Amino acid sequence: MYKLYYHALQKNDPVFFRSMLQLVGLKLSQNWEIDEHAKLILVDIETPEGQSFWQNPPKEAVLIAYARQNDIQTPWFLPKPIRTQSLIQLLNELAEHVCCEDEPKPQVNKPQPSHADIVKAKASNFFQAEYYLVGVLQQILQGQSITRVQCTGFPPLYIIPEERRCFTHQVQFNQINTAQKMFYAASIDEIECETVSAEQLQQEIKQQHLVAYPVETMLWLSAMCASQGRFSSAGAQNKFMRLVQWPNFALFPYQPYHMNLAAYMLKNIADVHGIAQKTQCSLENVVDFTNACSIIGILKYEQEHKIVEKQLPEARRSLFKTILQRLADTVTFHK
Amino acid sequence: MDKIIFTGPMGAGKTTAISSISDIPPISTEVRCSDDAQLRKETTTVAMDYGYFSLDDGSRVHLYGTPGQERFDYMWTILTKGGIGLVLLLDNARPDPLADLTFYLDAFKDFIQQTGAVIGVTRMDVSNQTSLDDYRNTLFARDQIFPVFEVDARQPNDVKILIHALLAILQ
Repeated sequence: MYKLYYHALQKNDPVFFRSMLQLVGLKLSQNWEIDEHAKLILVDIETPEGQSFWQNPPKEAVLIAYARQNDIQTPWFLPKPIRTQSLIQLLNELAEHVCCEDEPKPQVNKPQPSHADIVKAKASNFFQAEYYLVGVLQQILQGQSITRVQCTGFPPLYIIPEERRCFTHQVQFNQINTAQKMFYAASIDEIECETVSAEQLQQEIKQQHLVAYPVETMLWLSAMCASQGRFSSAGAQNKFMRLVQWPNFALFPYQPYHMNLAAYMLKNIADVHGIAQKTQCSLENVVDFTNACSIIGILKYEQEHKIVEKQLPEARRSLFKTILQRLADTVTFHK
Repeated sequence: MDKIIFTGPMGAGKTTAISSISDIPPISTEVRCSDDAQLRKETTTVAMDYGYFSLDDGSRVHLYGTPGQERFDYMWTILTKGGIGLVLLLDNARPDPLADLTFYLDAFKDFIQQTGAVIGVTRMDVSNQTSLDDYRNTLFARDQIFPVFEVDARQPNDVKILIHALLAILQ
């Protein structure tokens, strides 16, 4: 019996959800039941309580976002309002890919969409994270198994979901070369995933001198490299957005303009065109930045825009520019 | 005079941070600790630390470190006068780093209001009982969103990240 529960559902949604689960029961690949101790938890992320829960989930919980749109690009998502077809699809995919029974599944093989779908996604004008390394990482993080991610010709990347850490060869943030970018931008058909034991990982760490990184570092890098200036959806370019916290640039490769974007988006709510105009960044760079921020969960969409006008004296602006140039030999991310 | 102020409790890494990016070995007013502080470090700053880095046009950005101990707080107002902004370094291995955060934000309230601040948390490898999220939540409760980074004051890149972020929020 597969189990799931819910959190921060509003008004009649808990009753409705239970009813829908009963309704679709015969069309599911597994039997499901509501259990308050379940590791799988459906969270209404459009409520403050749900957002808080999403940011700080219980240990070992696997969260499913419940919202009108999948703005945070999480792999496990149920659109509002609940429809039978989307619920069936979600639960069947969860049953296949996420360990939610008492015994964990031994192997996490790559979820394999059709070749045609992958080709289509790569050629698409929209960035669909689930077709790239970043989506694979997100999916692994929803499970519990230590997983080796391998792409032919590149060093392996080991993910420990419970610790939200990964191990790989040392990454020189200021010297990320074209080959490394190819790895971070790899599409799902180029990636092999395999579960490994903690002992195997320890051995690999020792033998290959692997270095630990927070998973956010890899999520950021892979989103940045795969995004290629593409919006996440057709409506994304008109949405007003802001950052809810600073990206941890101590963990991410960054360019000075990333700092400016972060500072601007923390004070203002605007669409990508407005952000590009005010920060004098290219639209492509703004889109890549917002996609990466969305992936690590620090971007929030808003209904209305809010601009805080601030005029810095020209002399001071010039001084800051000169200081930044002086510091420009710092950690950078060469695109 | 263009200057950036480094502050924070004793042992947070202010002197080290300045020396990481200064063009000259920092000029310090360090004396041997004579009280309980001796348990933490051998010397401490009593008046200020000073360093600078030069810009392409020949001008200098001056780096001032305040004394960490509160009994020398009369120097804080003097040093911040005319400053560009504040780099607050916090030692995560101290007993209550969130109280330190609140203390320094209050102590430099006027200066921060006029300019801005960025927060670097050091020694997270020694103690991780307080997370970056704890710092962010404390700031959020004060309706302040400043950049917060885990840093190693000995690493020039980490100190430069703090200055990058400081300048970004001031623009």
